[in-house]
Amino acid sequence: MMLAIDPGDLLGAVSRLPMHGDTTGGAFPGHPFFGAGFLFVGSLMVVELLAGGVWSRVYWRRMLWPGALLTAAAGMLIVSYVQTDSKSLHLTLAMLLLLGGYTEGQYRLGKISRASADAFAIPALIVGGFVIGPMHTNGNLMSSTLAQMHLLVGVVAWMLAAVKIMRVRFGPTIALEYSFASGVMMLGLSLLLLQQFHGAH
Amino acid sequence: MLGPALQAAGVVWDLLEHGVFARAEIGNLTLEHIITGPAHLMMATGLALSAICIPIALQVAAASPEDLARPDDIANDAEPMGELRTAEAAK
Repeated sequence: MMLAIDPGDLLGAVSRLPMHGDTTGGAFPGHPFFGAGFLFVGSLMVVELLAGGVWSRVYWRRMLWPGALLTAAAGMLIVSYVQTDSKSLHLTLAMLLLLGGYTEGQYRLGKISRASADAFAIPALIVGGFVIGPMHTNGNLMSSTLAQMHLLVGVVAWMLAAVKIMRVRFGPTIALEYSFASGVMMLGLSLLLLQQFHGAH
Repeated sequence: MLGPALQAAGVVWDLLEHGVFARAEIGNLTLEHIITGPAHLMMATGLALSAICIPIALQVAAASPEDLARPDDIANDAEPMGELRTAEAAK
């Protein structure tokens, strides 16, 4: 059996699709791309732990986490420029991501200790959780599924801060490293869930 | 298997969305939904992860046990903490 698909027809069908659907209500679709990004980077952090020393043979792999944070900061700056509402909240998140990327980069380059990097990362995750959770919901925390999803993202950020605090308290263990990497994946998943309930769906 | 698992989760999510929860919307698909749909992005993430992990899996398969040791930073951080606990225990 032969399946005949004309590329011209296919392109024509795609071009006839409405360019602006109702999935984000016309807003800049930041949540899904940030969600996919964090899910991807979190997965690679799990792979990093599984691969052991092989992972750090290549420079870009070693600098993946700080690079991802800096990229997310750049994306958040674009969001705060493009989006008309919640500019200060997005800008706060962009600054936290920017400084987080810088300190993680300094740590990975061996210029500062893990404790110094965590001294910024832990408060940043707690503040970031408040910004993206209770502050971003703009109203009653339990008023809608969307508000609850925003709160979920904030709670995941606090869970990541808790993992970092446990790392400081009990020392680095492989279980805590896996927990942090899985937590970053969960952060991505929570942002994707947020997108799922953002519009008409 | 993380990449295929993510792709499978994305497929299940998409099937649930279009087959169970929002059946009526299948006829009103938009380009934005195709690009920004969470299930679609999860499938794309899994696909990209699978592709990126192929050379890493080959490198791990060819590596010696010493190369597979945990990253240095975990070991290096652990030593001072261990020394600190020993010193505290000795007091």
